[in-house]
Amino acid sequence: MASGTLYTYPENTRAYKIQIAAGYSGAQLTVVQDPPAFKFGETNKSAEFLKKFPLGKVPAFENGSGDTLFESNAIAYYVSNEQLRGTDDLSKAQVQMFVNLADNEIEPAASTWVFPTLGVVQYNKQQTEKAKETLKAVLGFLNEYLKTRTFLVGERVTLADISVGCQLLGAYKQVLDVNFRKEFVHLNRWFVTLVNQPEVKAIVGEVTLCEKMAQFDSKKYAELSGGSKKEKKPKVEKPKAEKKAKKEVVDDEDDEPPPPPKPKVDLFADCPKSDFDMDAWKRCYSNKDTETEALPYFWDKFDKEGYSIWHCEYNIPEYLKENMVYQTCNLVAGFFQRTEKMVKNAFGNVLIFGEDKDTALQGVFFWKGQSLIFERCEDWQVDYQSYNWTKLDPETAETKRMVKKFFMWEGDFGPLKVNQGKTYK
Amino acid sequence: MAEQRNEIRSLACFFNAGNVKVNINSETKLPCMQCNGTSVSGLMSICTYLATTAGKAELVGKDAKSRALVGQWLEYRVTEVDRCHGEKDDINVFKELNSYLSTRTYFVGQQFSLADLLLYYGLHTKVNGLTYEEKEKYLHLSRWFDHVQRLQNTRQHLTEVTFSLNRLYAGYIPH
Repeated sequence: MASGTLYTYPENTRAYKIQIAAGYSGAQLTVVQDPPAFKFGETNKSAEFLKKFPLGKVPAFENGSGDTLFESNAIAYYVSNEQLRGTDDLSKAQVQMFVNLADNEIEPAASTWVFPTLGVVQYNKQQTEKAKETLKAVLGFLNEYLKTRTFLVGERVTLADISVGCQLLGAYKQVLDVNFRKEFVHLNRWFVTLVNQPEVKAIVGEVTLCEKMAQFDSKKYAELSGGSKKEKKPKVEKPKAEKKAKKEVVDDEDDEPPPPPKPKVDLFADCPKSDFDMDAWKRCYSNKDTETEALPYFWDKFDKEGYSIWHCEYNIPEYLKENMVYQTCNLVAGFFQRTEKMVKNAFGNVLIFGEDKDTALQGVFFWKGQSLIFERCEDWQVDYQSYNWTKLDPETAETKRMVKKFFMWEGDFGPLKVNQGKTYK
Repeated sequence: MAEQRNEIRSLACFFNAGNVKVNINSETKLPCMQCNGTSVSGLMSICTYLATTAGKAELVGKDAKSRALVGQWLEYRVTEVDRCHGEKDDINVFKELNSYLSTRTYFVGQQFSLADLLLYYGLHTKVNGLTYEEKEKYLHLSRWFDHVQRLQNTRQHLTEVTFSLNRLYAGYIPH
């Protein structure tokens, strides 16, 4: 019987699959997941670990003879018994079918929907709605499939049930509320039976099905992503670290190592040489009348090949709705501060609209290059994702109007009333 | 009478109880089993005894609540299923059980128990007599029945009931 050591971070659903399989087969598994023995991001990047597992990914497994395995499905297969793997060619293939379905169809959609509700990634309405539809289709299939079956393959729990169940765990806990799941009665039956099997329960604990569909946790996200108020900084430190760990979970599947740090190079190497003098423009904007001198100067000198103009809007409006004006101002100040290294190549105006308990935030920037400037350097990326960035065509009258009203801090903003502005220079 | 005797023999086999002697009291119709010098009467007592002595007490229920529920379904088996007279009674039992199983995998909790085993034995003849159409009508009951009969060692002397539906039925996914 297989025995060995499993390296993972705690509460990893990929590791759950392995631990549950071992529970069924009786494989002896030593789970190393807590500091100091295992610290995610450190232990798995250490030379000693990388020697055994060059990709630095977890879950990772080593048996008594020093054979190593990575990729959770492979490890789960290794620690399984015949019952879990399937007893004949057909059932083995069926098990693989569901293991792949869990990873390829369920996991991406479920994550897109569930992670924003935990505040670990930004909410994107379009993506979430698409994910809901995708997941609904898969759940519909599984429900129909389980109408005449007790488990997915054969009459016993297999890796198929374990894989699909683990991938649905988050969704059932967070978003598949009574109303949403009522049409999946057979799937619900199967899921409840599965998570209450002693071998499964021992690993995942008591599972409470979602009462009310969780929505995007903008507060938590703002907190985790460090975009919140400065005075809270010491408090924010810890969630920040946590967010980092979680984010890595989200981003890189089986936890691929992050890309190596970019070597020191010219970050704007791809941009054509430009005659536009940023410093001269900033002096002009600061010292001269905006409407009669600075704006004509800007459109006279602006180099549309070398520079691009962008509109931005803070994309967690719910969060701003509850803010006092000074809090929203701090948000902007924080953003400016965190991106000050790129100020040499960028300029912009951000306007704070509304009043206490009802604020909004938009801005117009221009910077060197045609692409989103923040993508040039990791250090600038702290919270640009809290804003929706739209590139503006410098040729259109609409853009001219936009630049004018934002650079002058006045004009027609529809229902929004300018409270104050801040210049990034 | 032969059916009752066979059922207890099957139970004894399922629990590896070795040789058992089964008598049916001709007046009370109560089965009596003799096993390793112990004599036990009544279906419920017999199966509980067999499960416990085989070290499978969890099939009787692992806590007070599940033991009560297993007991309840064993009683249902004896008082309702075994006392069906005619098609109408059968239909009532099928309807009741089908509806109960529409949201459940097993009769008690989330594990196979004596309740499933005894109801399976008690319903075998009836389910075997259903047409495919009827089996589809009692879909949840059929799903449960098929599951139990395919578990290791449950079927014993009984024939396997087939549930393969006509492929013309919409939504049918072959097993």
